[in-house]
Amino acid sequence: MAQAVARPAAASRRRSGLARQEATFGYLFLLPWLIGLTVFVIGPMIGAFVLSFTPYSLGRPLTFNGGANFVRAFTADPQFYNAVGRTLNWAVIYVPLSIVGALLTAMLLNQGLKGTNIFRTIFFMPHLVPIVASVYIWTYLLNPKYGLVNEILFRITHVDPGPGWFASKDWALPGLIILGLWAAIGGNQMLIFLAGLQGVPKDLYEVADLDGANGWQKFRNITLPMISPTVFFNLVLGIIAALQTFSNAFVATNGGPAYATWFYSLHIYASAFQFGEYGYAAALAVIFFLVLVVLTTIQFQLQKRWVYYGGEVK
Amino acid sequence: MHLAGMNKRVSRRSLLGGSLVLAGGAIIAACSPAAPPTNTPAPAKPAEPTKPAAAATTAPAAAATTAPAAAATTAPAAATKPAAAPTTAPAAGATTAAPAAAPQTSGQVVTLRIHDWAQDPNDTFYGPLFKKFEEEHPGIKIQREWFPRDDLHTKELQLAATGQIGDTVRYNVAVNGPELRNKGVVQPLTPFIQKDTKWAQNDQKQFFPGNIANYTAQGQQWGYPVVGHPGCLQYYINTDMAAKVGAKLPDASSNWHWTFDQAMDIFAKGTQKGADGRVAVYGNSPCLGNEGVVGVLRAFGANVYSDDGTKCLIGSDEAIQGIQWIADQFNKNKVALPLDAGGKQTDVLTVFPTSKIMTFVSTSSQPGNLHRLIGEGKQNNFKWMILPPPTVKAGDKFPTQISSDGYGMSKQTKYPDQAWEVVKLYASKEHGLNRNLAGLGSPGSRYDVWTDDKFRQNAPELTLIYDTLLNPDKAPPALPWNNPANGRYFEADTAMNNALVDVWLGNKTAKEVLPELQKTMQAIMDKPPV
Repeated sequence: MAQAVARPAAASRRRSGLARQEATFGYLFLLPWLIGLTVFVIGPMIGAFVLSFTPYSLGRPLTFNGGANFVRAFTADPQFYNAVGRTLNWAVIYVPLSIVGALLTAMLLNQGLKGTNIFRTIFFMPHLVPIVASVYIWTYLLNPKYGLVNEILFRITHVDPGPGWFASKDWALPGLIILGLWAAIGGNQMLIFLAGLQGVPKDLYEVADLDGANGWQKFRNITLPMISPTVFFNLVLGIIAALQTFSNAFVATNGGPAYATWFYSLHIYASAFQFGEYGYAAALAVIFFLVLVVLTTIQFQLQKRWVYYGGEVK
Repeated sequence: MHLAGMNKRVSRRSLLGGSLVLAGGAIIAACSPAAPPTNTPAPAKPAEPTKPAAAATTAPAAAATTAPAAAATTAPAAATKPAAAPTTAPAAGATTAAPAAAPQTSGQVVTLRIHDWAQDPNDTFYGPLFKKFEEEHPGIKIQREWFPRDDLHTKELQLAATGQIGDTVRYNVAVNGPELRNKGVVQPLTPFIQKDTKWAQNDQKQFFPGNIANYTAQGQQWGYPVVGHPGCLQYYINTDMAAKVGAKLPDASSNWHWTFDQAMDIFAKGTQKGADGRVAVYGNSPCLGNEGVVGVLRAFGANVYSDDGTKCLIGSDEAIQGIQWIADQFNKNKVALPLDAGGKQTDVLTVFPTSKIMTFVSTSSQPGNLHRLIGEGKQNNFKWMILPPPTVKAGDKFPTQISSDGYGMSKQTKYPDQAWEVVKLYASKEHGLNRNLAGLGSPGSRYDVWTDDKFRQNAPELTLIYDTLLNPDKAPPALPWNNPANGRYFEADTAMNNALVDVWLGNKTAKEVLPELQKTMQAIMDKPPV
């Protein structure tokens, strides 16, 4: 009997010992990531926050200037509101187009037609082209004088000169939107939508067919609600990515011409690495971070009204 | 698997704390100054560090001046005049402190960390150059730390800020000088020049005075130009095409002078329509940006910046005329190739060799490229030349603005005497000439490079540029590259370029843009030093 009592106690000790070991190894395996997160993400974030209260420039002593950088951004920086406006313009046009485009492409590829895998690969390929290479290709294609796009437009319309694209104040933003959509529509968003679409139960469509629903009704009442978490996911990440847009404009136009593509991230970059004002650039980054936090929080609040999660009781 | 002693429970908090401590330690370790380079005993023949200096200066010169006697006589003759110009500044500043005392290195090999931008991908030029240098200086070993050019300036500032800068420093462009000086990244070279009499009496006189002025401040010289040319104001012309369209180019009879009106006529003649009614060939592709517009502004008697770099002058009536002349090429006269992405000049190397433009404006860096692309047996075969820039009236002084990038000595170096040898290598005729001959860009900013026979054979078109813009016997000294004294060149330049695009595109006139632009740029120049 005594043995019978001792056995569970020993087993329990063994189990807790094993659990501790397991936890230890778990933490050990987590350690590289935690160190990376601390050194390369949290550390710089804290550093940037501290710098935002200084007029720091490389090689200068670190002195504090209170909130002067923030005041300057809102009251004395001629490019601040310009950059904010351009970036919002970009996001308002680009995000809906990229999401709708990616969704439509995913729906086309979800039809189970012959050769779907080949098309999936083809659509995804632009996403795999390095950004700098794709931007250079597009600057050639959209060259106002010698580009293929304007040549085709001329042959059709006989209008010369055609759009100035990246060389024009008015056409630079549309040019970047075309470039961005080319890479985005068949990219990650499309893949995520495809996964979402494939998770929609087939029997829901069968029931709708029995009820005589047409294609639009099935999309509106089954597909869209069922993939609403996917739409929400793409929307949140899409807005953040759009507001952070940098590479295409940096390579194609460097913010020009006449600040036509001077996005907010470019303004941060230029302030720090071209103009040497690291403290001020850090303040711009802090403002940007806060705006993103607020926007994302609002989106999470609003999603309660339109995102449907399976098994959720509303 | 069982690890003894690891069964103690690790809480999330302690793990996170440990991580932070580790990370903090890593950051502190990363940010702490690097240990100074260690000296290793020389394998053979201990050398006095200063001794090879003399050998180094003579050796390259001797090697490079194997050219015929003609060249040897012109170079020194040319060099006599500028000697009285700003190159004397260092000598005048004789009150400067002596260079920091070098640690005792006799009998030891000193490893110098030298900074430059990544170039010469196959190491066909720099490899042998440094090998030869090390052979001539057995007490010095070169450790190259090169960066992408776009990152170079920032990297050097970062290294200096964390006490890890090398012994010698590359100036990405001359206009980085104020920031490198103000932040104590580089140290004055004047004491070394004064100490090195051979260099002072020979090489020092070979540099274009206007260029040395760019590296001179507070009575001291802080660097040397590695390469240099009289500015982005050199007119490359397809002379076959000019003859075909009946454009009369300036020649020796007018001392190569031409006016802005004549230039516009020539560009108009060169602008030709194709069968579909569109312009097939443009008369010109102007150089834009600060380096480009200054070449026009100075001809109109205007300037972007004052000589001392404290005032922006771009709002003057003369500047308005100059900028409008450039803009008229795009809009009123429609003779200029439309702008490319971002409002920049189209890559001339894709359009000039294919005869899509008759003329373009650029620096002295293009002849090597054009010889590669144009000529007998090549797909594009036509004759071309490089003209000095037009002026308002025939016979006016040619405008110039010497552009360069340079080399200096780190303030933190522990081996200043040895570092001085590396600075001299970069500033030497050998480097300035052979780098250009190797196809790595513009030539050295020295009279003896531009008058060297090898250089003239390699880029004969630049002889006229030398004679009209640089030769002290024939032309006034080429002028310096003025820039904001507070080091905010790129901030001001960004403001200028973005404002001027509106003029190039015809959205606004120069008169509408420039007075406001002057205020914007002045506000940048009034900020504290960067």
